Amino acid sequence: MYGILFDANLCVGCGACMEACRAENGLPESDETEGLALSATDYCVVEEVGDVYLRRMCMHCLEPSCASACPVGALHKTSIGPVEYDFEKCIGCRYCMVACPFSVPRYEWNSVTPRVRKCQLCPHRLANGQPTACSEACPAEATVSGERSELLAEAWRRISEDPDSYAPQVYGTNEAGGTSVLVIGPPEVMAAFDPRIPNESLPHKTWVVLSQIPTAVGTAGTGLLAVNWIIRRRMALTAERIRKNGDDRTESFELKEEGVGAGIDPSDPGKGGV
Amino acid sequence: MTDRFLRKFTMFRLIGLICLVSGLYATFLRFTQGLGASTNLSDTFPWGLWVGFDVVCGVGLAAGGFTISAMVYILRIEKYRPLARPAVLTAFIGYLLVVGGLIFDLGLPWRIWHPMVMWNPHSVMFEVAWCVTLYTTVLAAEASAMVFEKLKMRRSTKVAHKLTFPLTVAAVCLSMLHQSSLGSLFLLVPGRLHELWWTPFLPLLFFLSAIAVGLVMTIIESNLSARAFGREIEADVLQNAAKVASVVMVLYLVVRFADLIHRGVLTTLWPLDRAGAFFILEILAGFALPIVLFNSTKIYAEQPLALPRRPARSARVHHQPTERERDRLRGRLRLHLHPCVDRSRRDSHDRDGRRHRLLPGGALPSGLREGHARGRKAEDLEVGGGTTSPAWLGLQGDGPFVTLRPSTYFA
Repeated sequence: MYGILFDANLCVGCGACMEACRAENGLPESDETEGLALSATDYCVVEEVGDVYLRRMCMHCLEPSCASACPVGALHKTSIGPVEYDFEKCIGCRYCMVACPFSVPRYEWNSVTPRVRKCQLCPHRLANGQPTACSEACPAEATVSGERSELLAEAWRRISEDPDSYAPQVYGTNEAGGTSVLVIGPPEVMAAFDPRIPNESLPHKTWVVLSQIPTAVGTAGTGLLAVNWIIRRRMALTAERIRKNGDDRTESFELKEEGVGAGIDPSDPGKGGV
Repeated sequence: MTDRFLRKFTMFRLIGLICLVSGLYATFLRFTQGLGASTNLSDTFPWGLWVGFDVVCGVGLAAGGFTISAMVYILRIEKYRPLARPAVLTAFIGYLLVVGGLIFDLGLPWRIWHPMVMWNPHSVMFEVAWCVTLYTTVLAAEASAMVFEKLKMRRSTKVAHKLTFPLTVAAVCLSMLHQSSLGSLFLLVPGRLHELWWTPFLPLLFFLSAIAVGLVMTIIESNLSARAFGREIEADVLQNAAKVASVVMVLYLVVRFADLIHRGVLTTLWPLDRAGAFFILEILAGFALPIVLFNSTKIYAEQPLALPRRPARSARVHHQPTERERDRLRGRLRLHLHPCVDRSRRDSHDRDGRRHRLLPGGALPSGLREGHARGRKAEDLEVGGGTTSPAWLGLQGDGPFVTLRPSTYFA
């Protein structure tokens, strides 16, 4: 499984990764006057967090919420590592954007044929055995790419070598069920991530419900039929009793209850004029 | 000419016209320049009113269709029968509006069929898509009976009537999935939803609230149609529906608070922040107030005090009654003149819940007479009481009136 390790303590904030990303994906130069943020034309941004820099990009979760959310399977995690997007399938419901715990996917709001935009981890380059454009461009080795397990080992090696400048945590090990993009750095970098992101796989939360559908439908359907059968049977029995004994239900009830109409024989024609 | 035109230009029509024109303009923008130009949606708020109100609430409001039809066709609670058809029809219209809203809201609406062929069973949205499709189809089939009847297509009508029961079972199952799946949509975003609202019980809570709101929506619809078509409302049935809804709401609150207490979230309400204030507002205005109102006797004070607790005696009329039979009927009905002071039932219903309005002066509508003449099974007939009653019953003026119930309701 391919991944990226980002080391905030090594990043110099030069923005070479952003340049390389734009060039690789054919994205236009973005307007930086309004501040840097992920957008439909910026798949990765370098953000200032205190004294250091943090790269924001798609985390390529091991069990991605977006892929689980997509009704048509336009997003999927490939065996190499990237969470890829297939525009030909997309219907534009934007549930992936709602679902992503890292709020990464961006939308082409001003297009008539809008696409979901996010980092795809350069799948075409990975297929040729090349590193991603951003990790190749990084002059400070702050972004390195490789096997996720090797990157994890490398991350812990860096942390143990300099425990004073690193938080004792590799972000992405368990967060949201684990991600292909790993981040290490000082504690303020760890605090820059949304604290509400749980250390568990999110698709599981909906799957426990969705997997119950066949049982639920079967139970409900059978239950409804059974209830209806009982009710119809009771109605039939009542009708049978009425046919045999005459309708003695309402009359006697109301006579007792209301005490009106006493002395009038309902079966006696003619006498009960109004 | 202009004078007449101007006189028709009332305030509400003006507001309606403004809505229509701005809607058309927004539609134009939506399909020529995209969602960004026509909405305030952003990457931070990818879902707006169309999803939040049209889909999530709109589907809930259409829940009256399955709730009422389940009560009538499965539980055979016959007094709800007059509501069944309007409820199914409004549910159908409601779902068509949801699909219409989706055409606007989806980024690529011409691919709306994709979930039918490109499956992802792990996606709640996939379930929603299938439920909308299947349930809209079921509603169309249920509503088709009315169209076939109107067009006098007898064989199609017969088939549609035969299908009513299985379709209702399907409708309940699909609605159960669909209403709950709208809650499941948010199971995936525990971080984004406030802990006062995010709970693993979201699907159950959405389903329960849909039942309550569906019933209440039926009451509103009945009121509106009563105003529009100048008929009296089925007050006794609607009051009962309100009470059922309040029971469901109590059940909802039990589940909701049991979950909140179990998760230990309720203590976070203090100190009160904005989310907490909205939570309290939701519980008070959305649940406590309606529960109190629906069970307040003052609201029903207009109602007669001595309603019969049981349906009045059933009567069979197999043909235009003879003199002797009329006397007999009068005699039988005499018993019920006192208890049946029910001003809500003016119209009569046949077995399918179709209304037959009693004409002023007490004559039965001609269609009903013809029905008798053709040897139509008169068991299907319910002569509703009203301030006017059939002349041949010998009742006059605005006095008490009668209700005959068809014996088929018990057979």
